[in-house]
Amino acid sequence: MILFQKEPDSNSNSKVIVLFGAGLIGTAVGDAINTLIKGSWSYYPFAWSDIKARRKDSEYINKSLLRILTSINSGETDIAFIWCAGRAGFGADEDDIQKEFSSFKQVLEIINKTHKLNMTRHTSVHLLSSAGGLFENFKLVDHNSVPQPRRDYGRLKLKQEELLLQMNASIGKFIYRPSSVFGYIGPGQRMGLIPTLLKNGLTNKVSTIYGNLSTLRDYVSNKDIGMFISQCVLGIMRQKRVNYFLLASGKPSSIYEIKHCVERTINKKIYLNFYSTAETENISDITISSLALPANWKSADLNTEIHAVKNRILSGMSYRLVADNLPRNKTI
Amino acid sequence: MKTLSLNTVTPVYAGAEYLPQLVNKIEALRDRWAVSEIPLELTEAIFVNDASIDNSLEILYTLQESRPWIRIINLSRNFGQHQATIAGILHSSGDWVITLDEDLQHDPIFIDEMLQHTINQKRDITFANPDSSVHKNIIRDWGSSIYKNLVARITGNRHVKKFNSFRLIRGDIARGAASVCAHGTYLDVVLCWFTDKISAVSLPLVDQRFVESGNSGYTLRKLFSHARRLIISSEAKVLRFGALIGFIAIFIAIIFGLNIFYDKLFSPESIPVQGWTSLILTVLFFSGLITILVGIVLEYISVIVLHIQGKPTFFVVDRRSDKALRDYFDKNSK
Repeated sequence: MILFQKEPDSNSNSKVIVLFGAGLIGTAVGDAINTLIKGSWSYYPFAWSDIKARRKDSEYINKSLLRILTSINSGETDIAFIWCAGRAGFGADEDDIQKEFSSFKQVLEIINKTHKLNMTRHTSVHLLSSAGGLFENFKLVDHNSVPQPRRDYGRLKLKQEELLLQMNASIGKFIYRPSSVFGYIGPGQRMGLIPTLLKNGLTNKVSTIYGNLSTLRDYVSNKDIGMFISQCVLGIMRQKRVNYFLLASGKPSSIYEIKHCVERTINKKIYLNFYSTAETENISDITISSLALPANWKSADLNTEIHAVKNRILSGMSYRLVADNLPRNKTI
Repeated sequence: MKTLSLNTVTPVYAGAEYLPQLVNKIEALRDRWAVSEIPLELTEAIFVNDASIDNSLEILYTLQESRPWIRIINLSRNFGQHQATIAGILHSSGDWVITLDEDLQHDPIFIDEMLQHTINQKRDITFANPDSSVHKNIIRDWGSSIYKNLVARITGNRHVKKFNSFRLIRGDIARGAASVCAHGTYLDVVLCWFTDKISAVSLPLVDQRFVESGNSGYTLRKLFSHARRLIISSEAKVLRFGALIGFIAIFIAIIFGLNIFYDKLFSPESIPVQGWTSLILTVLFFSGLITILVGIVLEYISVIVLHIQGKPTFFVVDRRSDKALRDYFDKNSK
């Protein structure tokens, strides 16, 4: 868990931002916040698998938040909790789902306890859900589309959304439903289809595709999502109490198109292996209507972003400003 | 709920005068399908503004206000009709994509007929071909026809004669072809790389703009550019014809060379002028050899160009969803 703290200035109140998850999206959110505001940050452990350790971590986080809010002019402080954590993906098993759900519930407890202190001006919770999980096999998803998850991962996301909506009415609720996210934050991290194809292509490795060449998805960069969420978190954009955001490019792309773009970008053929079983099959089209995208949402051009990711992979540069530079033992 | 979807793609350059009527016609089709039993929905009408020279973009935005199914793609500059069509196709998600011009030359009322033809003939692409003169101008219509016939001969692509910008394409194939198109490639030629299940249907197509005003969206320069791209994108079989000529030249040189060698050995008196024949045969042999080598080099270049242009090694397509449409058309034709 990463905690950002910003002192008040002439333009805005003091802010405390609590970010759970430093993966593909969490890193981009942290990075964008770091770019937009100057403040201090610190790292807190939050156990994922061990329930006892997680409870202990939660208590420590709650105490730390109390100390922070007491030390600053808390009545004028905005606090935001961001949930970008979760190792569960489309093919997650029951164990992964349970771990993520119980961690999420633990985080909601932290939020409730902090909110009950009544020491902040405004509390908001920002949840990373999934358009793919909720709308699998939907075309042109828009605000009228009703979620119909087909697999455990989608059902988990829907349950998380429902839990969030049940929280105190005075808490601002932001639910982000990104489509197929891609980005490169360093070796060994989740990256999405496009960087996987780029990386495997550059190293002459075979990439396994669980869909088929015609499968349509809407690819969106983690940087764009990070920037949008950070703007919502920082209150740059005025929002309602409950907000849903579909985050996508609005342009469907087939895997064939992505394959060709990647080949053109790296100037060589890539090796693909098509494999699917009932558990791993992922062939359904999921596309988002461009009319359903937020008004102030900006997504980069796909080709441009593919080139940028390639350069990032080649330079070995991860842009994890927050997570990589963070002294792991630093706590307040 | 309809199980299949169709998108229209229209490049827009100077269509302000025609767009409201075109949208109304697309809307009429959309509404008709919505209340009929056809398992197909017109989910999006994609208009690609190719840096239009009139107020087409403003008109499109106005039309979109009450029609959320209209999608506008605004290109940064004028890229040309093919590139605009490709951009539109790449933004589509329909099971079927139909491309049509802005100027009512391609009446959406014919989409039903094209669809039925495609499904009944088990095709992936159907081009609309005019059943009479399109421009009501003999030079222009004949010029187009002669050029297409010539290219069909040179390239060996029998479908060239069917090419038309009013086309119904299976969505997967449309997007596959559009995604490999590079600068200078001709969309219809690329479509032929993905399928040979291509047909044409004769329809009454008239270029109203050209007939009424004598103006066309295509200037002479654009037509030449169009023709150039058609030939550049195609595999020029003429290269192989050149190499064949080289082989024939070498063959003739060898046969005559042997004949002269025989005469030189057994009847030298039959050769009245010394040196001339052997000189000609040497020139013939090496010219043939050079022609063959040039043919081989050009063949290599052709392979490289096709690779760069993205000619696929294979492409997978699922046609099972056609059954729903076939059943519908069968039921309605009875």
